[in-house]
Amino acid sequence: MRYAIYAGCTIPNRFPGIENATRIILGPEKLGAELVDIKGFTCCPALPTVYSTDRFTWLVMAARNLTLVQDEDADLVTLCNGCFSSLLKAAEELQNVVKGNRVNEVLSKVGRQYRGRLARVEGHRNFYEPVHVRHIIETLHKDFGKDAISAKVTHPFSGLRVAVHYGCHYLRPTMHTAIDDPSAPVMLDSLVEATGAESVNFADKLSCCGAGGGIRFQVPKLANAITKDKYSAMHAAGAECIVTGCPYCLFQFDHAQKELKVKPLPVLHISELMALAMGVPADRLGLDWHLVKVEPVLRKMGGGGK
Amino acid sequence: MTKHPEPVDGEAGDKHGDGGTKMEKKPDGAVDEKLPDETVEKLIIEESVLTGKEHDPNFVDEIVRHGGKDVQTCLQCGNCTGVCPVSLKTPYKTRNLIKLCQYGYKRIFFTIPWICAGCYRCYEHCPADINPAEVFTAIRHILVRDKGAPAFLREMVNILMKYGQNNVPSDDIRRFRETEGLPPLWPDEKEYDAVIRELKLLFDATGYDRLMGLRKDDAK
Repeated sequence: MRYAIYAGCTIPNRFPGIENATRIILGPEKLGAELVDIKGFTCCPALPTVYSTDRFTWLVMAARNLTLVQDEDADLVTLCNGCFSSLLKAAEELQNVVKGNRVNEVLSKVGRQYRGRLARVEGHRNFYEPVHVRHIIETLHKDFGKDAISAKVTHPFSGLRVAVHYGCHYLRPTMHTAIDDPSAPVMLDSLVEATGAESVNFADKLSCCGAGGGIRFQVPKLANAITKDKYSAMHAAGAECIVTGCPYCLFQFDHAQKELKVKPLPVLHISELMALAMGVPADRLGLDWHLVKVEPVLRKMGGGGK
Repeated sequence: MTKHPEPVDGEAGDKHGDGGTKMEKKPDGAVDEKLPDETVEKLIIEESVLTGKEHDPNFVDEIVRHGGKDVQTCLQCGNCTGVCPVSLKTPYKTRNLIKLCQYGYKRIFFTIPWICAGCYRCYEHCPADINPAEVFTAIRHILVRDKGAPAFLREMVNILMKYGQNNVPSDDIRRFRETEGLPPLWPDEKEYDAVIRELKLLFDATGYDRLMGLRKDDAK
């Protein structure tokens, strides 16, 4: 399997440990996939900024990113719900011939052309399909599976009670292809269980973290009020840690807990949890950038061998 | 003998004198200090519905033109409000806002902060396939074109045009990436200037830089 990792803006600049964790677990050290490095990416672009103000510019920018991977025989793996949703939506909208032609007209000004990934050749005709935009949760679950992952786990989190937060754009909107059941998703729970931890059930599990759509920057109080409900439900269910697939939700849970001055509940990205369980040393994951200290989770980690 | 039908909107029904309990009490932990209370309901009932003076007949079409669905097909069932994280905490209820769109009450949207979380729960629960989140996206398109981009967004697009990403790179992150052998941050890549130039050309071609007020010199 070949993957091109699209780390986005938030992860490389705020939580570089997540990127490192993903590269280690997917790469030859652990799961043995081949990683391709692609240069020249820009912001996906984000839904609250460019998509909210000009859909066409959004499609052009996203298409430009997709042109960089279309000739590689690799899936584009995103580590962030925002990047995932934006790029997947764009890849599917570009299938529309009218939109695709308009976008290519603009892209030709910088010498680019979006075609998609070569699917098959029949005679002298080439058939193209949308670039495969994947989410890290879905990639780990579908391409490797729970069993292959638990086989690599050397430091299981036995008995750790985890509240999973899928994040909105992993599940919704179903205007583009849903990768998991949008009303009863299973993949993140299953991955958490593969590390030996227990995924607890709590009220309103699929709601928003509060940060989305630029609320974090405009009305932080509103963002925190939304987070507080979710936090309370997780806390009431006896969770010891939050695991999410989105760095922006992670950022919001971290900051909201500090600002609301509540009992700290460590927040981890699924790649970080996975890397820890597979025996990657904690100091390679840059965990100091998490506002809520994650030491309580590390203490729960089982030592060597299963 | 045919009785005039009850107003579709629940709140309107209450206000018009059947003495029902007032809906939508402030939930615990609601943030309303800076947000005007009850504005939306009041405007629906008193100004727009009764007088019709704020009616902008083109607003519905304008929303469609900017990629939103036809709001006239909204059933006012309120499913969207029930699942909306913002409706839960503020006086802005999704259903009411869609109703205001039906009335062509464009002016109200100039006073409401951009607080749709874009979580798309409304879309998943809408029986009429309205997709309120996309309607609000379309309204943002309209606001930017009518009134210019809000300051926070201009700043974000400025950063985007300078670095190609939404964050300003920092040195301790760079150090960590170097020790761990991670690829450089985008703006530190070799020949990333060419990417920024491409971005500027694309923004110029789509007119995005002028739209966001980043090229006032030749906007005129």
